[in-house]
Amino acid sequence: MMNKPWSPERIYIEQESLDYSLSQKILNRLKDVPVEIVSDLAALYQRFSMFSDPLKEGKKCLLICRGRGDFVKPCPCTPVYLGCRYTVINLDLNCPLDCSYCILQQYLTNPLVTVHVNTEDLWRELEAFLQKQKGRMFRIGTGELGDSLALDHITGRSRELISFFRKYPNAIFELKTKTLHISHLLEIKPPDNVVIAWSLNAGTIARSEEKSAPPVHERIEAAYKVALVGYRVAFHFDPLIYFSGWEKEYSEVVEKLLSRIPVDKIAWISLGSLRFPPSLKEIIARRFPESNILYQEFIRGLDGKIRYFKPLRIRLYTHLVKALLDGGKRKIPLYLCMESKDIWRDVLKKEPEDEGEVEKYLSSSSGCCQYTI
Amino acid sequence: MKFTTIDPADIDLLDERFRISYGEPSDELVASINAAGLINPPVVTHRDGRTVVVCGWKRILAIQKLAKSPIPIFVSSEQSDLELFKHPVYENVSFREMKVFEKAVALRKLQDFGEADEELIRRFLPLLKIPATRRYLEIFLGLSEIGPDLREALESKGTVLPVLELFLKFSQDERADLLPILQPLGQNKQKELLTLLYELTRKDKISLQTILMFAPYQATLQNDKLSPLQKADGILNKLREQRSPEFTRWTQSFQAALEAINLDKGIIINPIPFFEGDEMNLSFVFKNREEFLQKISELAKLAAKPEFSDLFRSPSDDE
Repeated sequence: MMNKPWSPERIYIEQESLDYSLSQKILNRLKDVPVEIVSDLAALYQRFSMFSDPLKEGKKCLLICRGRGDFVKPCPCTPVYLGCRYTVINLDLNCPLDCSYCILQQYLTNPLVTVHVNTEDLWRELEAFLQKQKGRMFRIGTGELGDSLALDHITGRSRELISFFRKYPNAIFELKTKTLHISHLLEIKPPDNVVIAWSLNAGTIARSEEKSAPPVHERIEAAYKVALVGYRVAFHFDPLIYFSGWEKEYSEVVEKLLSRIPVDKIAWISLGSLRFPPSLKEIIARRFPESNILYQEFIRGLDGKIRYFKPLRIRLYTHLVKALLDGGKRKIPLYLCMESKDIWRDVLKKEPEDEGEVEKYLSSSSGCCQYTI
Repeated sequence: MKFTTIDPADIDLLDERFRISYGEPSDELVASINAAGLINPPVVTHRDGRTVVVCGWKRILAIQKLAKSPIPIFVSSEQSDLELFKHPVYENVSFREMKVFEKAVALRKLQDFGEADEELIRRFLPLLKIPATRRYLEIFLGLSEIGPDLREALESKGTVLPVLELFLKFSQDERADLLPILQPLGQNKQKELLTLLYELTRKDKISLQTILMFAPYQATLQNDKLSPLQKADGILNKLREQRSPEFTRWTQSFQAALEAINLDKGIIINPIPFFEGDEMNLSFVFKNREEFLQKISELAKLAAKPEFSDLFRSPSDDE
């Protein structure tokens, strides 16, 4: 469990990234960690492929380098199913947590926990992007290719990002985490357009499938603390996973959540069921042989991803939605991640016309929506 | 390396430490040596006073068939088995694509002779056209443990690596049980069958033998009227049903509803794959306006039947 902030056993730093101020800041903070300067990243990745489990070894090391691609991108979501027009900021790659279902195991070729230090490029790109979005309320966030706060004690990015987005009230900026690293957040005045979100799951799943992540009740407690100083918070029940006793345990988490967090502080709650590209299956089976998440009834969805057979997904969602609506007095905006319109209709009694409608629904400043369920 | 001649009878063919390829020499090789002699002489070495083959096993076996003596030969004085074994590895890859099990044997022997894993990954996996990761090294080392009988059976079917990888998930005993069901199937079905079986053993926490002892499987396996392919297909279908009970229930319910409305043969109604959407696909064939109108009229009559609504009911509606 990651109650103690993560520290790498070794730092690799790209030769050409040595002079960046963030590089120096990280090296200063991690003075006792051995450092190796590398000139060829591909050769470094190749070295990790020698390990039986390159990802496990990669999670012990920190790579400091420049980000080469675009930092700001539309969320890739998934074809065919209904998206929400989320915009992602791809800052750091990988995270020290080791969740069995994590898509990054298959998605990234680089197995190391990686910080991109060319922050000036990020600000430039974000400025340019946000200039084009004037008048549009929309959601944007980190946490797509790594946990938003898992490295915050090393990089201090959260403060900089929050300060940056304070100037753009039409952008609702979300930091998404499973960790308890909120100290930097508590030091600054929370802007209205910043949302701190936690991924939640049933206790059994958190213990068996979210290795290194703190227990769910501690995540809720961290959310309570940031809500208390004025942040809006959000929660992602994603991925919902079938296991023996799922109904009782998911109900318990919802109860715990809503008894601790004031409903008016919750910006949104998303639900998504376990889904993954077929190639991830083999990786999960190999890296987590004791995990049983692969052996429920799956089908290949219209996007080619493996997901639970539709009636099973509806069962999961219906159970959670009822608990959330009852406990949340029907005031919490709920949405489904990567689901079809007909499941929205069956579960939320709401069928958005398109992604624009979902965006509008989740990005309104009040964030309120009435349900007829 | 010394060039000389030798009587093949003086070679110790029981010492197979440097052998990679198995099986008999091809008729073409025997005919070639018979007609042109040994153009490319084999390599031998001496170990404990015996002459051991390093490169050219099949050539030497062909010579034995032809009962030729003496034969030209290279004798290597290299004392390290590891260094010597690299000769047949490099020789083989230089003129042919080695078979999966030959690659597995080569890697196992290199490792047994003392080659470091890092060197196997960095140098020999690319040489053998295998991705240079430890995972692949582990797969191939696992394959080298499969006994000769199973190896031959799998190789004769040209079983591909992804299937072999799945095969490795089962124990030695289970592999022998699997072979008769596996062999009649094509590659895709082999992969599906192994996946389903493995997942069922994990899901229900039961052994492969227990699954195959279930009555529906036994009924198929012991049905003498079925060919091996029919048995294998039958087992595969039953595994699909057992692995996806809810989907099977939905499919059967939909099929029953279709049968109840008695569709014209030329009209096809299908749900979205895996019932992922609530829409349906309709298709029919027509060759002119009259036929088109006739089909439309049939469809209208069909839609008027009360049973037509059952197409849109799901088994969950009854719960």
